[in-house]
Amino acid sequence: MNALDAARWQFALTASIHFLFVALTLGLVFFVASTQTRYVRTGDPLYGRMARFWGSLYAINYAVGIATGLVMEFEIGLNWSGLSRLTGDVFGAPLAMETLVAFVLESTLLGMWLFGWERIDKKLHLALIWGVAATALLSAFWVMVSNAFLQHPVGYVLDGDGRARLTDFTALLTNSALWFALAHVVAVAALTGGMFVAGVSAWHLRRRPGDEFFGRSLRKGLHSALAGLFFTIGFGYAQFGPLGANQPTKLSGSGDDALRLREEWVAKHGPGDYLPDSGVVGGSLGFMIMVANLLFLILLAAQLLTFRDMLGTRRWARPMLWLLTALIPVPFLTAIAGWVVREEGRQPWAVYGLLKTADAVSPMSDRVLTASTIGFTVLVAGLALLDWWLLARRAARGPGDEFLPQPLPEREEVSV
Amino acid sequence: MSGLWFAILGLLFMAYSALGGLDQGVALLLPLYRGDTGKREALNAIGPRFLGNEVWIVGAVGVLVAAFPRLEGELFGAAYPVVVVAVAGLVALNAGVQLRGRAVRRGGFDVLITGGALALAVSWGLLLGVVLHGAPITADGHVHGFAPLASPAVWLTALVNVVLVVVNGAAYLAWRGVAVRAPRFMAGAGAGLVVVTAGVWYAQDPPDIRNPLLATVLVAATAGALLATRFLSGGRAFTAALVACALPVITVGLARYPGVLASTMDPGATVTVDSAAAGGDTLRLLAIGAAPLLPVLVAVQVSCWWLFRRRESQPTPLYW
Repeated sequence: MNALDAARWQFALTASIHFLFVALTLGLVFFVASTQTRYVRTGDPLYGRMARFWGSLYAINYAVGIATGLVMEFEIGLNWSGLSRLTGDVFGAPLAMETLVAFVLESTLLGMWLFGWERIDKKLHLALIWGVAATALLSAFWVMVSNAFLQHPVGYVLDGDGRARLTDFTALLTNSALWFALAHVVAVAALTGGMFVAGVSAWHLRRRPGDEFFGRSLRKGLHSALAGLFFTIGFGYAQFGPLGANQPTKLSGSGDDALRLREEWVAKHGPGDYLPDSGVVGGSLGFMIMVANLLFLILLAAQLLTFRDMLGTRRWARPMLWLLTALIPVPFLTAIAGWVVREEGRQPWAVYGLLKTADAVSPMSDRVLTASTIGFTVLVAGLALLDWWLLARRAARGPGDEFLPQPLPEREEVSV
Repeated sequence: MSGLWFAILGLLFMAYSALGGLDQGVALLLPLYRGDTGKREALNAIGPRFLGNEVWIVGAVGVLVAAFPRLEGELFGAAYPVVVVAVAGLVALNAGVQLRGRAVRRGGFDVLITGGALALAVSWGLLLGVVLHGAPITADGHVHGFAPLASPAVWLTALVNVVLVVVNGAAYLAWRGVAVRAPRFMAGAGAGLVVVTAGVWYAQDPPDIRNPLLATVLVAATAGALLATRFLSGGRAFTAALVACALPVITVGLARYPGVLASTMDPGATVTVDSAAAGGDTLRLLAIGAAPLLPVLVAVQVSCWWLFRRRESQPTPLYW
């Protein structure tokens, strides 16, 4: 494998796996925060148990999510030094905002939330999880600002050395490749989190029909999934508008128009192939759209079945419970397909029209990059498998009270 | 403006070196705790602070990428294998600590935690050593090969760092009331090692040292803080250990200021703060967008230490 292929595979694999964690984490945190809000408002202990149970699954997923994110942050420096040397001024600023302002705060607040159950004031504790949710959203925003620059570079000038210098920050924030994509990603997170909650709840309801804890969770999960999918589809189609102007080659296919486009680009940027693999990009796009439409129908049917709690109690509705559990992986797969469209469709460019992927890779030997690719892929894939195994086991065990302090023994503390 | 960002970068790396060092120290001392309950008590002594301690490295690398892209490129290039091992160590330590409590068989996680912390402490020391001794940057401005990693003097710095984090972890655990019988000679031996390392460094006559006096003072302060942990106890000993862990970062950062990463091959190719920094517009943007939030970050971390200041009473509620 040559250095460029190794570096691309490495980033593609770690980023894909990382996004699986991101989607679930971002989806679950809002679910947990809204459940805990109900708990604080109503004082109903069942909502408290729900927040703790889903929160414990969230925490497992977050732990591995950080680990894979760390790998990515270093990979940019290790393997893509051309990207930071030539466009780092523009591309790095939002990334620094993400790590420094959003992520550091998010983790600090989460640590306090995990250990804060029954130990700090209820309202302060609730504020902590909302802080985690808000900073998670902010993280997603800054990462998408960086990504939108790669898709459609704006707000810069090239200086004498061919390095991009940031001139207009507002242009980065109003990038036409940013807002619809961000809304799409956030909606996907709501869908993924909702499907996860609904699927796990359905598994328990098949064993204990009419269970109050999972009955409520299932209804909330379905709401989140259905709303998420609705906006996912909406903001997915909305992106076709700016896409045609921003990246004419992405969905050009391989017909006559594509050939004309290729000639135009060769005239502008010199010899080379400027069209992405239309089979991979078009196939992923078709898969994503088809699955989303089918899933919408299924979720709508499941939503109708929650009328009078038929889904949780009636015997004939059980196939739907089974189906909901079986569909847990589907949002993850479609999310990867979506990223393939966005990232593979941008090739051969690292920064569209500005910096080729081949020029962005670090001047490392093939051997070093292949070794680090194998190492990091094994590490990240192993972590993902470990995460899913722990999640499945914890989810199957059902709610416990693991965040709560044990009751204190009846004795006065004696100071020495 | 680049000076300001260099200072912020230094503060972030110092925070990680001190607080992340405390996590690594606790992880390295973990095998000395017998039984699962003992190990869990040690990890839960870090408890709510663990995530807050670890994220400083993420913030620091973020600023390195955005504000000093060239420094990052050359440093990571010169020490590529070390950075890869450091990342693997970070991942192992973070995932291990957070997932250990969720597993039934925990032996594998203990290996992951201690092994990860060791890899991390050694590679962090090696990185400091590379900056201290300089890298073979040629006239074209790039590093070729990993020559610095073959130098015993660089590995000596790594050894110093391992001792520093162990002393740090032991002082923290003692302060939180879950002390372990760590070897008492560690602090004294560490102070000696710091002096020897500095001696070797001077003897090697590294290129481009601008502030030898300042470096000497900082080295003496590090050794002094290490020794102080031996004679103080509780929170004071821990504070001294934190200071000892943070000082090497300033020493390395200021020894050749305004130079940062010296070239051992061509004096003209030394990376300076200005030549490594991003453009003025980017730095100004970061100064407006990110810098005002740094005090908020510090305030949240301080409130975390304050909110959870009480030692957990028995029986300990455990999460990690």
